[in-house]
Amino acid sequence: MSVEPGGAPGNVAPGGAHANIAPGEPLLVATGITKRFGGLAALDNVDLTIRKGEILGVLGPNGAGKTTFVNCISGLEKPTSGRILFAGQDITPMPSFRIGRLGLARTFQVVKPLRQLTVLDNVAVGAMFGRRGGERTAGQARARAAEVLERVGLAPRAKHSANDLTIPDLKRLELAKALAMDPDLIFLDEVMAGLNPVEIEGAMELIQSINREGVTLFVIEHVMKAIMGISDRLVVLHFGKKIAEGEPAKIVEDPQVIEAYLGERFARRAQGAGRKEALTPGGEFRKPPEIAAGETLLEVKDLSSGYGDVQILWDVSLEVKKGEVVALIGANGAGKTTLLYTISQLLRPFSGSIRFAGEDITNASTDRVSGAGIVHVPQGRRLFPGLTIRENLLQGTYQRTDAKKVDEDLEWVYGLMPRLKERTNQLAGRLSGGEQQMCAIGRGLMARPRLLLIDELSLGLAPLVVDRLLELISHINQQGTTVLLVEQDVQVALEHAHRGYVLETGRIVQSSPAAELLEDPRIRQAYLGL
Amino acid sequence: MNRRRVVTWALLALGLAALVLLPRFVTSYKLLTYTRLLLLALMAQGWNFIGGYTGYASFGNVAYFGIGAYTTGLLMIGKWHVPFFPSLFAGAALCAILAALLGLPILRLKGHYFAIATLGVAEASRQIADTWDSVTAGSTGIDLPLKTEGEFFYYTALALVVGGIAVTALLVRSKVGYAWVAIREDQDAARMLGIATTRYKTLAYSLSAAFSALAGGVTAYQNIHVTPTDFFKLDYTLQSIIAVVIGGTGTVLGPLIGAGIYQLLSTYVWTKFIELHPTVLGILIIFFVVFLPRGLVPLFRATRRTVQTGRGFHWRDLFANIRAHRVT
Repeated sequence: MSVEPGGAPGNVAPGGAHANIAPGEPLLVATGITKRFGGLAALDNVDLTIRKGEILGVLGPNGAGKTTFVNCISGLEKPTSGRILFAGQDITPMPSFRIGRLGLARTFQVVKPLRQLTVLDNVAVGAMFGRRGGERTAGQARARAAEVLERVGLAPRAKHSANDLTIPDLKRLELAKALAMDPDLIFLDEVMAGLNPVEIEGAMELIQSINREGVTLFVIEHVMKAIMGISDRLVVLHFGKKIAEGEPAKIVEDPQVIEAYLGERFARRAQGAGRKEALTPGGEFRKPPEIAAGETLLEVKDLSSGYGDVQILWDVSLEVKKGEVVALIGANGAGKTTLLYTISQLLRPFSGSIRFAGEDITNASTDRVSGAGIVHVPQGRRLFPGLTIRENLLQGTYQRTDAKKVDEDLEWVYGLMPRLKERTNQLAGRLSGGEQQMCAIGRGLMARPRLLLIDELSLGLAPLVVDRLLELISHINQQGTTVLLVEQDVQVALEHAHRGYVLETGRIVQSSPAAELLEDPRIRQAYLGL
Repeated sequence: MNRRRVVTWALLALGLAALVLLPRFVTSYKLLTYTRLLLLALMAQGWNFIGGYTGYASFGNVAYFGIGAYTTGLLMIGKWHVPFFPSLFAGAALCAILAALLGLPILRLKGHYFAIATLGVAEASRQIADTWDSVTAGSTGIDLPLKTEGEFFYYTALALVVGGIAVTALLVRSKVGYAWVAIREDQDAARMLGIATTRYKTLAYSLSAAFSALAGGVTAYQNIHVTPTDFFKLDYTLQSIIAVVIGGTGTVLGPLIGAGIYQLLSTYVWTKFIELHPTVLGILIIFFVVFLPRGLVPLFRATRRTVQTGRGFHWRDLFANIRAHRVT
């Protein structure tokens, strides 16, 4: 592959070991893949062909079986039945390390960096044990890793510990590790989740250029703009079955796909994804119900905060009134999560004050904060994976003293999210992303919050699921819960909020009614990527 | 970079020279303490492969310490009167093979379960030694040929520890070391990166068994009398784990440094607080685990980095080490 300028010239044809397969011919053929967990069929008789040289995009709601499919192909799980041929060779019974050495690499949706190693060494491991690992010494593998880091733009971080990277960089590291294995085929599992529009543009370019160098790509992605922009073909999975396959433009018009995955609003948006000018966020704006301007519930004043010596927030002031939904938007690393952490006192502020319902809670203990009625639904959900849904929900009631009302509230939460009731005795770790997010919100609600802090509601979720969750938030809000929402998808957040704050490099730069922010050209430029 | 190398090598040479010359300056009783220190270091080096680099907490390494001791002893006093060193290495080889066979099933277990399984291996070995009368003479134990030259044992242990350092240093810079650390950090990621995890885990466990067996064999020859209760004590495993934790898990010199501190502290406490010895020692160990959870070698490295960048010693390095494994 021409990825390596330093390598011996001409020793490997584009496409590596399987150069004898012509572009467009089948590289990987999976037939009748079924995977059952207990009684549940995560994959049901899926046939799928990946052609050499293409970018195959995969869509599907959370829980459709996308990641399970990748796990089955890459050998981390064995399909209950079915057969997988890679370049004509049956890889179904092979252990995953052998499959990796054949030239099939993957990234993980939940990133799996080797935390104690440097970024360079992380990538070196891929170069050492991947398809061409046998030809390299440890030293040569490190040299190769340096080239790959240059390629994906991580070179400045080479000597950092992987532990210190931000989410976008960790996603890039996943990609770098896979590339270092000199694969013919890479499975990318949501490498763009959590990136802002500008970063997504960069990621799209990188993915396309890798593809041009002869690497076939299988891309799972919820970011419609990205997947529409780069895919040669699309496949849609739903409840473990393949429901559509074909050209991207045709797929987004398929009624079955719209019903299962996109939803009306997103379908319209997806169709416009290739044509930037066709998008008018204002036209789709849905005015939230007016609220009577209530008293101030949360008042943050001149708050500075950070980790150790590193200051993240600088004199941040913000106000949330009773009955409002307030959206907090801003780029990755702007300090949104840090602000929520400081409000719930998981982080101690350097200076400034936080008042809640007239009471000073600066430097209060976390149990006092949650006791006062501030409940945090953290990024990444942080459920207790070994407990059932019901047990997770009941964990939310830890501080309550009105035991009798708990059963009533459980029914209330089940009523809001019937899906949780259906699966009440399932382990939280086995749920799909959307169900986990519901469970996390439900756990928060069980504490009967006066203010609900929600961090990255839509991260890694399918559009339709996001729509439902946001309707849920509006519904909860109408029933009297105040919400402070941190959200990557700015448009979605502002459509459901009354007011919005924009955070930039740790400072509040703007605060306006949500409708005005949506129309603000600077916001649209910076965060909507329009 | 080059100057740093020179300094490192000079320090290592100095340390080695001190250890080589040591028997000239201490009494034979003290020499015994230092020999024990080196044997503990040897066993700790073994634990470091599986527990430190690969991340599998083995609590049963004493099984191989005991089996190594018995194998060495039985070969020396058996029909053929095999000399000491061949017997010693035969014991190590036997334990490496045994560990590989046992490792294949138990290395498939996750963290806690692996730890429990290794405890089972240790207890089972003790029971076998206790009841296999025809070979091990049961609880009476066996007696090895008499050898009283303290220096012989000291230098044997020293040579083995230096060899252990060399083996560790070479392996961790090779692909093997990368594979071990990758397995420790994330096994699924390691497998997808093309690492044959079972093979590398088994290698780490085998090596750790061989090192334990070497320590056991030398101890047996020095103590003369080998019984199941003395040579299958959980204490040996625990001491080696403590030594690695004090020195720094997954570091080349950590086991030796940790063993040194542990043994010298233990001896010192012994002479000062005979009655309260285990209590005081326990408190010191808690102190180390709470305040230096990453161990001394990583602390030293961080400090050297800040000093080299001209900022002088900074308390931050100490606090970072303290915070490393804390729940905030």
